[in-house]
Amino acid sequence: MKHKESSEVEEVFFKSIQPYYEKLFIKAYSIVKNKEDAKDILQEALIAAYKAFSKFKGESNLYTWLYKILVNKSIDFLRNSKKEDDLIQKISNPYDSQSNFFLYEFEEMYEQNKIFKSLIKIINNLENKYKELIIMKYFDGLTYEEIAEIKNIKLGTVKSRLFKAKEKILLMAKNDQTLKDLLTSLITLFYIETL
Amino acid sequence: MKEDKIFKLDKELTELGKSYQEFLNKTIPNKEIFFSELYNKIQHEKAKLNQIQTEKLTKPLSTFWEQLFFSNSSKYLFSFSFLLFLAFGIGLYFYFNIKIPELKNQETPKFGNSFPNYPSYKEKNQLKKDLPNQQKLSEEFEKEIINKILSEEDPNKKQQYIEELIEFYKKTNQIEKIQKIYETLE
Repeated sequence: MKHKESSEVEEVFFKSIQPYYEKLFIKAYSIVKNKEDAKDILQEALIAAYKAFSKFKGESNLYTWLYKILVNKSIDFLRNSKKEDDLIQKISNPYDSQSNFFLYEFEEMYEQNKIFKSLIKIINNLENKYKELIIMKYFDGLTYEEIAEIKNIKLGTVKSRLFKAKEKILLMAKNDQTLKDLLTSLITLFYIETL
Repeated sequence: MKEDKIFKLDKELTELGKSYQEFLNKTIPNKEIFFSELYNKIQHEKAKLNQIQTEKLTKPLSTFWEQLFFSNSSKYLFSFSFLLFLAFGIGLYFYFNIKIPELKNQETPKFGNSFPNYPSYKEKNQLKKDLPNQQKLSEEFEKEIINKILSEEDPNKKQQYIEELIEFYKKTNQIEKIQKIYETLE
């Protein structure tokens, strides 16, 4: 009887996590920046989720629950790999300010795109609390509600913090001529379109 | 003006986010292979868990400590707490009796801590009644021992009686009489 129950739980678990596989893998890969490590971490996170699945009461969104487990596992992995070998410069937490969030290949791909290049530079240098929210909103495709749930903060705080983050980007863009030119030209275009 | 800038920035960020997601999408490993591997790992974990559980169930609880913490029966827990309580009590007893000896001899005040230990009315009366009796008894004892000294012929025994008498005078604080004995002996 118990065996039957556990196989049922297994079936439900596999069915419910499958739609999020791609999104979760991308998340792990964007943090650890290594395909094999990302695969291992995702498997580890899903095993942890399976073990705790019976306790999951559905009070929170399944995707945000899995997202939280995965991000914690990925950051733990980075921390441990740093401890293991201090001599070799390992990848630091991509949410930290001054550290690269984007993969090197992606940055290289947009080397010629001045706008993206400037934006990438600015996002990398954002303060941790703003950088994290910008990544969650625009790169992980999370909604305001999902961010609030993951970060355990109020919806209003998410919105205001994201607005502030964008203000910071604009402020930093003031020093970046390319982005400044682009934004003014876009605004002019926007006004022409609305006329 | 600021809102417009933010609106446009929002658009640019969405674009950048989309292209980054598209770029990462190419790296996703085969879903079927990933899930079959995950399935195998979960089965392995389950087997490991089962093994631990069966080991726990089949392995007899040998030591006292194992019985105490893992046994379903509460009698070990009761006996352990009783022993602990007993040890604590014994410890307290020795602490007050050995470590602080003055506490042992301390007389408990009759009317709380603020009053000295004056004898009660009954105790005083009793003392008054007892005093003449005690005096009588000591006088009788003195007479008896003096008689013994005088009548005894064996010098060793005589010596012993004299020593007893001196001891008696010492106890009753009759120093003058002791001096007199020494003088006569000399």
